[in-house]
Amino acid sequence: MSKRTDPAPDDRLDELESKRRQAEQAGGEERIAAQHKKGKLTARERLGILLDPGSLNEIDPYRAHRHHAFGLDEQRYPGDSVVTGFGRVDGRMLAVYAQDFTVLGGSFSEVQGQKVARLLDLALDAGVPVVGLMDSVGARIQEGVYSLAAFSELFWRNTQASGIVPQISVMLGPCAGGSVYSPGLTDFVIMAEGSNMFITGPKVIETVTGEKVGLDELGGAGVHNGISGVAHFAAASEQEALALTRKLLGYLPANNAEPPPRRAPADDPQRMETALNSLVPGDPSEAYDIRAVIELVFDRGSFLEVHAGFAQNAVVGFVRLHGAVVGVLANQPMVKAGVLDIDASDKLARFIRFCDAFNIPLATFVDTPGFLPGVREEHGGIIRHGAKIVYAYSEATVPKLAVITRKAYGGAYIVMSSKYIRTDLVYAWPTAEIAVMGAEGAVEILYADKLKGRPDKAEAEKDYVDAFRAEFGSPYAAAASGHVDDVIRPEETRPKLIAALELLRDKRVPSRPRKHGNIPL
Amino acid sequence: MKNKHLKVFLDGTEFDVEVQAVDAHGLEVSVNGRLYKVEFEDLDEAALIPVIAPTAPAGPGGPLRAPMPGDVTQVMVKTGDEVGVGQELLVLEAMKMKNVLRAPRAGRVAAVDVAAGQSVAHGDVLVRFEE
Repeated sequence: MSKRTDPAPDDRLDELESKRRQAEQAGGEERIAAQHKKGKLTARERLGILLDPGSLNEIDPYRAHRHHAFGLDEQRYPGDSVVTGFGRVDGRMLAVYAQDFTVLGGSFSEVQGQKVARLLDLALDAGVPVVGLMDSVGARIQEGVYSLAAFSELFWRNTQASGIVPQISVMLGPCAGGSVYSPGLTDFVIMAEGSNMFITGPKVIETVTGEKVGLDELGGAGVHNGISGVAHFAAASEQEALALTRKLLGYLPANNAEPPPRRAPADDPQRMETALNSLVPGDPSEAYDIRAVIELVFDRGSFLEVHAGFAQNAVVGFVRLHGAVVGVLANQPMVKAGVLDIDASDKLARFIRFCDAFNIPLATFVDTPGFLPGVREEHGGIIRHGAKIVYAYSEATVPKLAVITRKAYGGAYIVMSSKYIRTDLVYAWPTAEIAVMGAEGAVEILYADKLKGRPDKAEAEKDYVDAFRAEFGSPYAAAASGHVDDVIRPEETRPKLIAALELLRDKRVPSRPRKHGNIPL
Repeated sequence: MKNKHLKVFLDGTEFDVEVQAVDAHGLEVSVNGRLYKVEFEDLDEAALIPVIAPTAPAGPGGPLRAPMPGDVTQVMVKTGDEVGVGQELLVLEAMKMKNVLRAPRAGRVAAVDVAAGQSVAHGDVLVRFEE
């Protein structure tokens, strides 16, 4: 063993420290102050909130661009416009990147693309989720095609990672033009108040179509959470958006080869909620809040609603059932009567596919009068969109459970996790009505001729309706022929679902090899 | 959700009680301005049914439009009324269901374009708000 003759001199360490300080300064004090003045945090501050304290391991902090044109040679920053690395949330590893608005507006550069691509490659090999914190003016125009190529590399990787590791985009500033397709490709988009997303901005829109529209009105958090469905969560502030990201990660496995994270159950598995017994109103035209059912059945306080503001006639989200993560889906009778329409179809289908890709069992609560009638829906392609729900449920191999609480009519009954599309266990409450359509509608069609012109029309109609209800207004006809597996007291739903899930925990479904299916997009 | 404001007299002392939020597990009440969290333990029956109005999508302004075709059966507001987010505005009967339509945002009602008994098409303006 030879004696070490040249220990690293202190000035080498000093040099590293000074380079680190410089990288941490990013775009410089002035830019940082400007960011703070807007009420926004810097990339590193945001990562500090997102990750467990001190857990960030940065990658590529010194990588800098090689461009000269349009003044770029005088604006070269170590690390360029993005911070990338890996760290922990609640002790679990994930890959993170944060666009740095203080460096050339967080513009998407060749280096930003290379750094993020490198990170995604690493995440995919390691099998860990990817979270991107977005705050950028868009492509770095000065870099020309290099910038565009960098975007595309990210989109390609987002696609490769889809269904392998969960991907979350957190919008904390502008995201415009082509760059929106990265969030658009990821599994979940969380938008903080003040962030916005659009393909073409207000100026271009006004030039081309003459429409005058503000940033927020065009692509703010409200628009994408309420109207377009591009975003899955809205947050009042950056801090809230980051806290929500941590919470969401708590329901997701690190990759598709892992089960979702189990928690020690804190709630009584035998808990019977008698309130459930009287929750469905006796009058079939009265609504109730299906979220009340969800809150009462699953582990207390575990419901994280996804797409809460979008297509509210359907409800989707994550819950825990005796500690295990479950994806819950439901019709919402108190919004648009709980009908299935184009937006609700897209919302349900996408959530089913996410859960199936990541081994999260599905529990569906059914109370829908059917698909929304109308020229607008038909011309909008409700056939194509509704088919996505059937496709997604049929394709899903995770444990699938369903509870019919009230109306299960026609095509909507079939698509909402019926036995025929291989739902493992279908339970019905005594209030369930399984029929081709509602009693009134059925009588109008079946007895139109007999009722026409009769002086006692109203009375006769009521008799027919009563007769129809007697046959289809309860679940027993369906249960007698095996279309539902059991009729249960509403209060028994929790223990029944827990037992069913325990039975199906290691469910295996053989699959035939194919390149991929052709979901009706 | 509407706030529930109560005055409670106990042994000659007046308490100003306001119920702030209720869910299946408990409620938040302020008593003389101080906020308390109350957790239910052995309560059962209807008391546990959570009352949550759907979060209205905080979309851009504009009027309340018919979300689906149907018949207006009840109108609960009139021009000039101040409404809060989630407040019931009217009932639209559609798909054999009574659908309660709620205020998408807080504001003053500028005009009610429909009356009970009227049929509406998808997208028809129902209630306008002052900008």
